[in-house]
Amino acid sequence: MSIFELQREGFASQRLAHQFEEINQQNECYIVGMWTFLVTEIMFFGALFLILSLYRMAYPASFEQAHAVLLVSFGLTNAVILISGSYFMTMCVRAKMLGDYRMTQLWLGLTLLCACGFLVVKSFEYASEFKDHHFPGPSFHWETTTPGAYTGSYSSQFSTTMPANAVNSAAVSSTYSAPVTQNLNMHKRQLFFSLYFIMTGLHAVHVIIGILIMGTLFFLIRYRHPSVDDYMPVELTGLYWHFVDIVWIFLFPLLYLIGKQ
Amino acid sequence: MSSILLRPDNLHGDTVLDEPNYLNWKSTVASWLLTKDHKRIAVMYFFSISFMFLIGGIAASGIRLALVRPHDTFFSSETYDKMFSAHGIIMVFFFLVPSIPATLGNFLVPLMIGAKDLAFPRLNLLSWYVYIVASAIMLGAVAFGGIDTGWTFYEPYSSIYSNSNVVAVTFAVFLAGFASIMTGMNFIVTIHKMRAPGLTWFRLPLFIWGMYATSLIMVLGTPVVAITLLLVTLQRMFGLCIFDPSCGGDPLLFEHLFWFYSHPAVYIMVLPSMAVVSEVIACFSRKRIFGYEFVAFSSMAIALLGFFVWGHHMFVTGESMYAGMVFSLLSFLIAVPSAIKVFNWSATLYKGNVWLSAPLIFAIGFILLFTIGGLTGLFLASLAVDVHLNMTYFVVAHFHYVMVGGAIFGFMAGMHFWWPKITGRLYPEGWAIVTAVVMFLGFNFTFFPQFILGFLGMPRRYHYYAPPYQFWNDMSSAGATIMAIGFMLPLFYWAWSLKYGEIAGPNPWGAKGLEWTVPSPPPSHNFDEIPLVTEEAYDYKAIHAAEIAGDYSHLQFDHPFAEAKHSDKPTNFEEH
Amino acid sequence: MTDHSHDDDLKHADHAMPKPIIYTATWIMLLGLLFVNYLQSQYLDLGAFNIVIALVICLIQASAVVLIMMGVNFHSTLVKFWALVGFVWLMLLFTTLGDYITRHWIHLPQGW
Repeated sequence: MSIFELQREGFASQRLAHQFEEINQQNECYIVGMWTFLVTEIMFFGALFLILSLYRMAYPASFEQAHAVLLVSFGLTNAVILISGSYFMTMCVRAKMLGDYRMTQLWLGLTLLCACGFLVVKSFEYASEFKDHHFPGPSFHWETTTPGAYTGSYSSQFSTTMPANAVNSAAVSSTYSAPVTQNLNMHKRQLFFSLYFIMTGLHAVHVIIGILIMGTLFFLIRYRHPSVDDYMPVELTGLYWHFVDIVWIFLFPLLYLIGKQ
Repeated sequence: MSSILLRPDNLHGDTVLDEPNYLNWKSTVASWLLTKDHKRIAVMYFFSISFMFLIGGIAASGIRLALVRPHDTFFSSETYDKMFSAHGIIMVFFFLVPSIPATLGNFLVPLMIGAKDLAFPRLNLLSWYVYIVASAIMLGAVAFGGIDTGWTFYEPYSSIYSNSNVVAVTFAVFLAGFASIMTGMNFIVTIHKMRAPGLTWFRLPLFIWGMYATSLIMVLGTPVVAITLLLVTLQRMFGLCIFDPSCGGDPLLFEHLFWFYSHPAVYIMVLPSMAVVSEVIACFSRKRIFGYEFVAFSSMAIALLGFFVWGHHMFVTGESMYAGMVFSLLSFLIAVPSAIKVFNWSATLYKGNVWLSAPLIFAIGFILLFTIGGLTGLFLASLAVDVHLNMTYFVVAHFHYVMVGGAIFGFMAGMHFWWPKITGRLYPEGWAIVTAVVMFLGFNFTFFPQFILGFLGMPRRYHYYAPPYQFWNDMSSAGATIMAIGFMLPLFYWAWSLKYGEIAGPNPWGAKGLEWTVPSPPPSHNFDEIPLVTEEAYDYKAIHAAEIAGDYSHLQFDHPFAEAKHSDKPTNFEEH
Repeated sequence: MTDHSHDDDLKHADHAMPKPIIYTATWIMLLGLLFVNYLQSQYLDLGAFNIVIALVICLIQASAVVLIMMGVNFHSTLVKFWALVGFVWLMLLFTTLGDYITRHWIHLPQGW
C-alpha cells in the first residue's frame, strides 16, 4: 500500500507566473529556490556551530561549567514547542494543498501559537539570565551553587590554541578584582555566554521573522486574498519554519545537554 | 552584388529603435524603479556599480597621490588609512563582486538560455534595492569619518580598538552580501530550471557555466562572511566577545571565517570575466571554444577548489604548519583549471579567423594580465617565499593583476561586446581600441612596479616609505594617471554612442547564441516564442568557412573590418 | 503564447503527498528522540560518548524533519541535491578545525 494518498485532481489550483512555461516548472523553481536560501542559512548558522565546537574543544572545563548553569527545563519546553510547531506546519501545508481554508487557518494558528509560546519561554529564560548577570560585559558575574567548582578546572588545553602571553596580558589588563585564575575562567565563560546569546538570539530573530510571515499569511488566508490562492507561499513558509526547528534541534543538546552530568 | 550591402536599409534609420523594446516601453521613473524586467535591473545595477567604482577610484587616486613622495604631506596618516580601506571595501564588495553577475549576468542569463525572465524577478529587484541601501550606508560611513581597518576588517583592528565607523561599514557589507546571495539564488534556479527546450547542459554558452559557478560561490560562501561581520558588529555594539583574546577568543578564527568567503570571492570576481572572455574569443576567432567541456568543467573546478585554499592568506599569521602545507598544495592545484582555460583560449585563437575588435583586445588583455596575476600567485602560494612576500606590495600587485587586470578587463570586454545588444547602438570602434590599449599600458605601468617594490620589501598599507622606493612608486602613480584616463574614455564615447552611435541590428558581430537572435535592444518579454535549440554552442563552422571565402553577408552592416577584408578579394566577389 | 491572466487558466501540479499518519508518526518519533536525548544527558553518563550520542540523535531528528516534514524525500533529485549541498559544505567549513588540531603537533619555543 502506498504511503501517498493524493492524485493531482485533489489539488488546489495554481496560477502561472509570466516567466514560467508550466506549473511543475514553477513549483520546482520555488522549492529549489527556497532550498538554496536554506543552504545559505545552514552556512550562516553553521559558522556559529563551528565557533562553538572550536572554543568548546579549547576550553572544555570552563565550557562544561557554563553549560551547566543553563536552564534545561526551559530549553526542553522550547524544543517540544518547536517540534510540535513543525508538525502543525506540515499539516497546515497539507490542508492548503487540498484547498481546505478552514483547516489551513486552524493549523497555521496553532503554529503561530507555538512560535509565540517559544518566544515567551525564551524571554523568561533570558530574563533570569540577565538577572544572574550572565550577559557578557562589564556586569558579567559568576556564581555557582557549588563553591570551588571553578577552581582547578582552568585550562590545561589553553596553550594548545592560544598564545600563553596573550592570555596572561589579557588577565592582567582586566578590570576585575578577583584573582587572576578565576578571572581567566570567568572570561572564558563570557565567551560561552557570548556564543549562547548570539546563537539563541539569532534563532529568536528567525522565530520573530517567522511569526511576521505566518501572521501575514494567517490574515491573507482568513480574508481569502488572491495572493494565497496558490499553496506555494504556505509551503515555502513551512520550509523556513522547519529550518528554524532544525536549528533548535541542534542548539538544544549542544548548548543545554552536553556537559550536564 | 556586394555581400556587405545585403543588410536591410532601415538599419540606418531610427525606425528600428522606435519599435517596442525593454528601454522604451515606458519611460516613467516608476516604471524603472518598480520594474521586474531583468534587463532594466541590469541597467540600474550598471549605473549603481559604476558610481561606486568612481568613488573607489577617487580613493585610489588619493592613495597614489600620497605615495608620490616618501613622506607625504597631502593627507594625514589617519586619512591615508581610511582611503585605502574605503578603496578596498568599495571596490571589492560594491563593485567587483556585483560587477559582471549583476549587470551582464542579469541581462544575459535569461536571454542566453531562452527564458522570458529570471525565475524570481521580484527577488532580483529586491537585490538591487538591498545593494542601494548597502551602498548608501557605506558612502554615509565614509562621509562621516570612514573606517581604518583595511578591507579585511582583521581582528583586533576592527574590535573595540578601532575608533572608526566599523559597525556601519560591516553592516553595509553584510547587506551587500545579501544582494549578491539573491542574485546567486536567482541564477542557480534559472539555469537549472528555465533552459529552453533542447538546451542541454553541454549546449549552454560558457558564460552560463561561468555564472553558475559564480552563483555557487555566492550562495555557499557569502553567508559565512555575513555571520562573521555580524559577529564583529555585535562585539562592538554589545561588548560580546567572540574573537577577542582578552576572553580567550581567537583572532585567527576571524581570519579563517573571513577568508572562507573572501578567497572564493576572488573567484566570484574572476570567473565571470573568464565567462565573458570565452564568449568573446569564440565569437571573434569564429571557432568553437577549443575543449568546450574542459573549459566548462574548469569553471566548476575553480569554484569548488576555490573553497579549499583560504588558508593561504594566513601562512604567516600563526596558522598550523600542517594546515599551511595542505593549503599551499591546494593553492598550487587551483592553477591547473586556470591554466586549462588559458591554454584553451589560446588554442581557440589559433587558426581562427581572428577579428581584432575592441572586445577581443580587452579579452586578450585579460588573458595576458590574468596569466601574470596567476603565476605570481604561485610565488605567494609557496610557503617559504610567502614569508618574504606576504604583506608587501608584491601581494598588492598580484591581486590587482587578478582583480583589475582580470575582472575589470573582462568586464570591459563584456560591456563592449554586448553594448550593441543592451543599447541597440554601436560604440565607436576606434575609440574603444584606443581605450583598451591605454588601459592595458596604464595598468602595467601602475602595477608592475609594485611587484618590484614588494620584492624589494616595501610593506603594503604604510603611509610613509623609505626614499629608495620612490622611483618605482612614482612610476606607479604616473601609470595610475594613464589608467584613470583609460577608465574615463568609455564614459564619453559610450554616452556619445547612446545618441549618435550606428544602429547595431540584432547581431552586429555575426555571433552565435540565443541573445543575438532577438532584436537589439530586446523586447520586454525577450522572446516572442521560446526557441528550440538544436545546435551546440559556438557553432561557427559555417560562418568561419564563409569568411575564409570572403563572404561577409552574415554581418548585416558595413563594419570597416568587413570592408577591408572584402577589398582584399574583390575579384572573387564580382564573380558571384 | 498563452495568456495566463484568465481565471480559467488555473493549473494543477503533479505532486505526491504522504498521508497525515506519516507526519504524525514523525512528530511522535521526534519527541521520543528528544526525550531519549534529555534522559541520557541527565541520568546516563557515557563520558566522551555523551556528545556523540547527542549528535547522532540530533542528526536523526534533523534528517527526519528534512526528509519527511520538509518533503525532500518526495521531491525531485534537484531538490535532494540542494538539500545535501548545504550539509556537505558545512562539513567543509568544519575542516577549519584541522588547523587548530594540528597546531600543537609541532613544539615551538615559548612565546609562540
